[in-house]
Amino acid sequence: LQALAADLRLDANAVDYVLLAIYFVLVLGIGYMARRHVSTSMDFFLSGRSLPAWVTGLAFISANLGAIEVMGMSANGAEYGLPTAHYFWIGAVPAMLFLGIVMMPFYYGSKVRSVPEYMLRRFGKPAHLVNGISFATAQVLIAGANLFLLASVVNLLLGWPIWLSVIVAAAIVLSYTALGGLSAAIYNEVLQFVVIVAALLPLTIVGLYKVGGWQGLVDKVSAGPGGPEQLASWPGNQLTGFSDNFLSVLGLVFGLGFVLSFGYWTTNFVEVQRAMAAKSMSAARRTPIIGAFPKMFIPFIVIIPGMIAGVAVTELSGENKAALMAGGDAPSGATFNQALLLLMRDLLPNGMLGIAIAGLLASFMAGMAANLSSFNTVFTYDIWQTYLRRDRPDGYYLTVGRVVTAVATVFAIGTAFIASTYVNLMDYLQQLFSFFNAPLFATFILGMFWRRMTPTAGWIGLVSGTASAVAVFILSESGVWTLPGQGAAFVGAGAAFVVDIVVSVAVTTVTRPKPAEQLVGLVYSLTPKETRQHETTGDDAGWYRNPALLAGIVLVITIALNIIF
Amino acid sequence: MPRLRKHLLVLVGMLAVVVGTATAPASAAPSAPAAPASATESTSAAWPKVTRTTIGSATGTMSVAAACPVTVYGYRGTLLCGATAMEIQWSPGRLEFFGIATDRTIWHVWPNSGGWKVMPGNGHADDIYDGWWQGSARRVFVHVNSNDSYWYSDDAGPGWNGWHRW
Repeated sequence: LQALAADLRLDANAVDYVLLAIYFVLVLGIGYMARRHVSTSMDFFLSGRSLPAWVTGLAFISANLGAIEVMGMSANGAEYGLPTAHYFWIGAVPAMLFLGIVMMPFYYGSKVRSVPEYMLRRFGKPAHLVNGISFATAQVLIAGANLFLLASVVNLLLGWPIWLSVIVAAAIVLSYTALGGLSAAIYNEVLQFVVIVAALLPLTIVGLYKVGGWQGLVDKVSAGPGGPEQLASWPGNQLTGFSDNFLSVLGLVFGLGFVLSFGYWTTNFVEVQRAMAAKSMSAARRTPIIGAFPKMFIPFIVIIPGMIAGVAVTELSGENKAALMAGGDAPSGATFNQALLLLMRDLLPNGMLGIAIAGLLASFMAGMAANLSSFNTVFTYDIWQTYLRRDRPDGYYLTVGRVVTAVATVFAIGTAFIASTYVNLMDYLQQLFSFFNAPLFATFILGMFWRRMTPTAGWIGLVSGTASAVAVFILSESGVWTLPGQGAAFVGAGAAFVVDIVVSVAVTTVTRPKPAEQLVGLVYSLTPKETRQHETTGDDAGWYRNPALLAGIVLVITIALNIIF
Repeated sequence: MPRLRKHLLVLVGMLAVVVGTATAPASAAPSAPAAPASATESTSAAWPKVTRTTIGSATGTMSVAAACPVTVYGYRGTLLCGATAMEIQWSPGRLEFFGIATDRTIWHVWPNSGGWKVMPGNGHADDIYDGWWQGSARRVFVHVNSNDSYWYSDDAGPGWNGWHRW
């Protein structure tokens, strides 16, 4: 393995380091500029709800384009091939459209400052506390995972010690998020999106050239260990672990496409926060829809490089890939997680290498900054202000937000070393999403559309759903129920959703609902229809700003992509 | 478990249809110095997994080109009795079966292939010898008895590329 690490070391020269330095100066400069616009806690935590839709839309997608997404999806591309695109076309885009069209009016219209705050107003304190604490804990853990991946990549590529990489990266992210709050994080995410694309697009083009174009890639994947089924996104048996086509499609559509995906995209405050920072209801609704446009095409610069690595990188192709697909160790010692790095090593010259490294670092920092900026908001508003120190001046909470950002960064450094003990972070995180996001989505969807649902049903449903996902996980881990691939997460998510719904309905029938006047703006039937209609005046005027029309265009393109591939 | 069951079914099916099945030797090839290193009957962690089978003799008198009917992955074919055939599992779940026909042409079949296909390159041989990953390419070896030579064909993407002497 040490030999492999030495093989991965990139021959970065002065040009690459200058490009990296320019990038970091820009990142810190954005933080400094954003600081001048922060005077209230709302400015710090929600950018004063002042940002245009295209900025929040790109930030929405960039916040998700973190280390785990870029490295993990490339690894999945190398292992499973084109079916990995389901994470985008089935597992993201429909849910993003649903968030923009259906759910955003409740979030933005009710003027809540966070997703847990919606839980507080809809279901009361027990459900709020469960959601707030689990979300805050998860963000620190995921920030640590992002940080660890960043450090391990810097260590492999440039030879810096892990501890030094962790501290330097944490210090940079802390600097701009603590200075400029959400605005700094969002504007940096826009920059990071550009840098990530600038890094991955040339890698994809050069990679395709090397394997003989698209047809060359098709031929090589067909001949390789994955075979032709890695070139069609449906039915995705290798990805789901189901050998039966019907069950595989059902697992993808219901488990990934509905429960896991809707759970992640519609209730995860890391994402929803970007839309909440938009300057109007229309802009907030357009945020995830604008984000869906690039999201549809990200597979082409993330998954395809992974597929290229699976046929063109010696350490990952042939018998190595076959052994890794079987769950064993490759004779080369490489893993799918190194797909992108190995491809960069093989293909990129100096200069392009600097941009590519900057792109990877950008994705790691975008992910971590998103974790930190959503954590500090939930901790300050939903835990500190709600349960510990109420009714203090606004400046007090602004200070708390900055201090908490620093404390969370220190914790993230600690959890980075916890993350280092896990072999496959992608599988681990999918599992976490099945525990927490899937039942949360069930509670939200029921609570938003069924005014009778009671506060007691809210928290009992959540806990029951999580418990059922954990039970599926235990059955799978103990070998009682064999679910290879990421099938355990899909089935767990489905179980969590169904159990949450059933328990919530049952508990609602024997407990007392909230009075209707307390639910105005929080549930569908009690929310004025005008809030869901497109504004045709001012900054929101114009057919091209109509959320429903934009969503329709995205949907048509997504369906076309599913048919073509 | 489903995968294991599937493999067992394929194996049982092969055993059932091949008349007079004989146990394959650990290495089907003579130990000529020029022979490519053969994989053992693979149970190791290395890929691919190779399973050799000697095609049984047909009922009745054995002739030079006796035909033995076989059904593999649901596809019926006729192979040369006494020749070594081979199932190669290239990766988990990716199976391919190679055999020699009575006219000594080389054929292969795989699940959902639609039937037996002749290997490109107009090759003739007496036994399937071995298969392995050559970098990112699949490689299959055959043996010719008359001059004790070994030949191979690769598929690195565009398809099997004819036969080359080892």
